[in-house]
Amino acid sequence: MPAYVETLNYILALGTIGTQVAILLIVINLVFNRSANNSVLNFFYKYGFYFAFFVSLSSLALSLFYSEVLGYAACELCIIQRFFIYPQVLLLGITLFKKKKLLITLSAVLAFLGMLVSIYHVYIENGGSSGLACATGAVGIVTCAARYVYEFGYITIPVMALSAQLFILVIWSNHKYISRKLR
Amino acid sequence: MKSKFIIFVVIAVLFVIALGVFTNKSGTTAPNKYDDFAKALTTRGAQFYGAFWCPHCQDQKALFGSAKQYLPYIECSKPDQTPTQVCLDKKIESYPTWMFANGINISSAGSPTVCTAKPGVPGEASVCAQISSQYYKTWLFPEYKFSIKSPTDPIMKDGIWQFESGAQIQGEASLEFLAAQIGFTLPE
Repeated sequence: MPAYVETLNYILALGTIGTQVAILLIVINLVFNRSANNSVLNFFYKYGFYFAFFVSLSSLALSLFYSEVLGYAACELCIIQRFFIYPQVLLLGITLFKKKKLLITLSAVLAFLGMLVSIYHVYIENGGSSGLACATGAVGIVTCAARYVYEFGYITIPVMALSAQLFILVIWSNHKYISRKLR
Repeated sequence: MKSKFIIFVVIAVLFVIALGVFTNKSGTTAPNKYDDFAKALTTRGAQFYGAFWCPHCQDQKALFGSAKQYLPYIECSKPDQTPTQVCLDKKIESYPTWMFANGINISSAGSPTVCTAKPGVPGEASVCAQISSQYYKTWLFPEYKFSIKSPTDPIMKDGIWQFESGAQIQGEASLEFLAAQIGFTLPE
């Protein structure tokens, strides 16, 4: 693996941790400090559209970089997750200009379904550690237990995808809450 | 206000990139107590075949910490997970696989499960379906997490099973076991 890919994986892992911190921050404030005046919730309400668009666009760009530039074969579950994240780039791109409730709901549904697939993929990936050794790959067979990225002992591509989808979902949950309060 | 936010995001992204580049580089250059051991594995003719996507190989490398950069690692997988010609020629069938210049010595009080080469024979242990090789016989010792495949049968002497050069360890091996294969004393 080229050195720059190792560095890139590490940077993405740090970014994923940043996303997870943001998720925790929003969830903790939503659960324990729920208020329309909460500055954290207001910050993510105000800029949630940008964050969600940035996360979905990054997911699209990076997944294509791994498969089309580096040549890492995408397994079936990766392709299903792409099915849920790619349309969000378009949806969220539109919400930057037209903040339509329907688009937000669609984005939230896609994020939720994508999150379920990511959870299953993380489960499969961890199940791949069972057995004595990894089987060699054969032409046409791409195992979803493969860990192309493995940083900090838990961050893999499905964990990155899970964090991205969860972040978008949490942003929309917060948006719904603050919108109601402001009504 | 929007421009301030964009500046904030750009600075945050640049900070993460800088942090990643800096900590990643400093992590690989720091000395590790297994540096000499990893180098000794290389100089004494051990070979570690693996795939960059293989969880067992990642766990094996993690045992060495930053000393993994000195391991005699041979990448067996192309990006699309198909095996490289070097590893096909060496008859590598699973990852990680270790080979040693002087063969493999393994201490075991129990009797090993022996699997014939694929497709196997009726009545073999069920584990053979997972571990048997298409080329050679495979041995599984009860005390170890890996199997050994070898073109020749081992010799049993004083509780030590001796496999000739060409035998392969398939699966993760402990540092103590690897050190014993090359006669290296691990640091405290």
